[in-house]
Amino acid sequence: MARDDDPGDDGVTEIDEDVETFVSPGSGQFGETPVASVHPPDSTRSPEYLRTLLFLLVSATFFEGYDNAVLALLLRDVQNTFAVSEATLGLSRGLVEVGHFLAFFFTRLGDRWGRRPLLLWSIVGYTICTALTAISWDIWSFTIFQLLARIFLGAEYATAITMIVEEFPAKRRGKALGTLLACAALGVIVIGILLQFGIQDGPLEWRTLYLIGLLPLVALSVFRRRVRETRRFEEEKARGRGVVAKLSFWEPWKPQYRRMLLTVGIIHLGRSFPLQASTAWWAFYAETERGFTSAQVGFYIIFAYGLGIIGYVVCGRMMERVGRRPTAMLYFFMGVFWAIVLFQVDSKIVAFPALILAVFFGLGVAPVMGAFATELFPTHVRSQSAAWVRNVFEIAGYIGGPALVGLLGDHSTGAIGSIGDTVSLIMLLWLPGIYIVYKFIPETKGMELEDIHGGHG
Amino acid sequence: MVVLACLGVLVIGGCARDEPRAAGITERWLTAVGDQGRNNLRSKSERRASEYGDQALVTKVVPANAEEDERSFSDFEVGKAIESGGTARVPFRLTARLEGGDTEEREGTAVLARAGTGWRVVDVTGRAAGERVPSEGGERPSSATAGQWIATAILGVAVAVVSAVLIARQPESTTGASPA
Repeated sequence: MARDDDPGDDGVTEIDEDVETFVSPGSGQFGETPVASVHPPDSTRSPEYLRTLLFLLVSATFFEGYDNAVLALLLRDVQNTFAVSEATLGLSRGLVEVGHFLAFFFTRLGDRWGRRPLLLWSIVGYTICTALTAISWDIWSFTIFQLLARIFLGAEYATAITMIVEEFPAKRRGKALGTLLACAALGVIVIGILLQFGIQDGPLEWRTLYLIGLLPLVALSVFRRRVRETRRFEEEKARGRGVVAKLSFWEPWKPQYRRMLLTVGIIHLGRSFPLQASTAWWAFYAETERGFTSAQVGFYIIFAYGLGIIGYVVCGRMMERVGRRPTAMLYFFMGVFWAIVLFQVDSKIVAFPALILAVFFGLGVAPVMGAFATELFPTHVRSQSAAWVRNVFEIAGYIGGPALVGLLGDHSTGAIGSIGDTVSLIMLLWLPGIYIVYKFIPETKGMELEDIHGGHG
Repeated sequence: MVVLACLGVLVIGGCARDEPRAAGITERWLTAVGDQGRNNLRSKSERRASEYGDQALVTKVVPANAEEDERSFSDFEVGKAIESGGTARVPFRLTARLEGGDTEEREGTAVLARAGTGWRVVDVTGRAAGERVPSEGGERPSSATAGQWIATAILGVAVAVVSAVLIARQPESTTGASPA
């Protein structure tokens, strides 16, 4: 952190105005004296440590799925509690998603403070905001607490992916990413199961779901202290003799990175726009346009996500065996195909496997997307690049996709007037991503980060 | 990006129909009627329901033994409107919540009359022959036109071309690996 105010402290390298020290892992964090550290990092991580690391990181994606599912499936209950109109509810939902965008500014600190401190602080912040959400007293307090929770969750998510990429060897990276990202689906399944038990109908209504989430979060806040700073971040720090240049907000847009940032960003936007359009509206579509009952929607979601979760694992293995590019292109095409089938067929019987396969390919492609967002950028800008990709490009789809479906698919005044058809049309806009991957994304199968970036990880 | 997004919303918002669909009005009316079951929503939802139809019709769709302080319908579905002159008939199906946790499937047809540039629910009757909701094999209330499918396909090609040109105009990346 910038220490222009106390240049004479022992152990702190005197630095230029635009240069900062790193907080060494395990020492002071926010607001404490930073210590320039040149301890050589471990050259490798033991399998036991990597297993522990993965276990301690999965909560980032689990709660991503958990929180999104609460909002998608219980929005009506929240509306009932606070007695607000759909318009107010829509505004609230939009503002909550802005938190993902604001997470960008928090996430980029990972390139300065290190991955570990950011990870520790983000889980603490997310836990506090989740607790506050459970006691929110009106729609605006709910909105603010959820917006803040999204900021911490977004930072935690991006940092978790960065740590996996930086710590796992190339041959195990895809599988680890697959496992990490599959836990987002697990979060949705847990919500589906809790809804089947009628948790939301208890005296605390939807608030119970946020309170349940607090238990593992508090445990994680303690156990995550076992996580070490990433080896590659330590190496980068050591190479800079304890200091590294303070990265500009626009660093990933410098000419040497811009092309890749734009490519990866467009691919992420191209996926998140239709994907969020479909996931945010499927329950509504199924009930209002296909005659599903609420119980059927819950049942379908549990099984679709339960089986579809295999898509993450298959993707993780496939990207190691056949490569990132063919895996991404196959998943993109199949994701579009099955989503359109899902939103077009009348038969509930056909809709069931269609939903499973749409989840399998649509959400299951996340590991390869995570690899694109991280592997293709050098270590010193990796966190910032991942934050740009996730919190700007991808989040634009989070906000824009569902909003566009609402505008065009409105049953009364929308230009199309059908949620199913609107989502199907928007799905077609995912197809250009196949061409962009084919034309501009390099294949990095089996390559260590140092190989990809000419010896500079 | 923000400016572009705002422009996009304005353009898309401009695509909205001037005249609401009868099926959409029926859906909004049923939503408002169903919300009247919740005590804390009753006054607001009564006002909303009155915008779209006659409040006196509520008893025709909500059972007398509906569950207290709960939304009256757990789910509902409407079919395609059949318009004739100044009226429209919209079939619907709903699941009503009853006391003791039971449910009851109900069906009927909302009759709407033109009111200015929109529609208003003026009666609820039994279904006539051939009136079905989509889950029963009936037509969807609204669908995308062939022109909209073609326009989206063209837009997809345009997105691919513009993206490719935009990326190709940037300096080569320093990343060691290169596309196959």
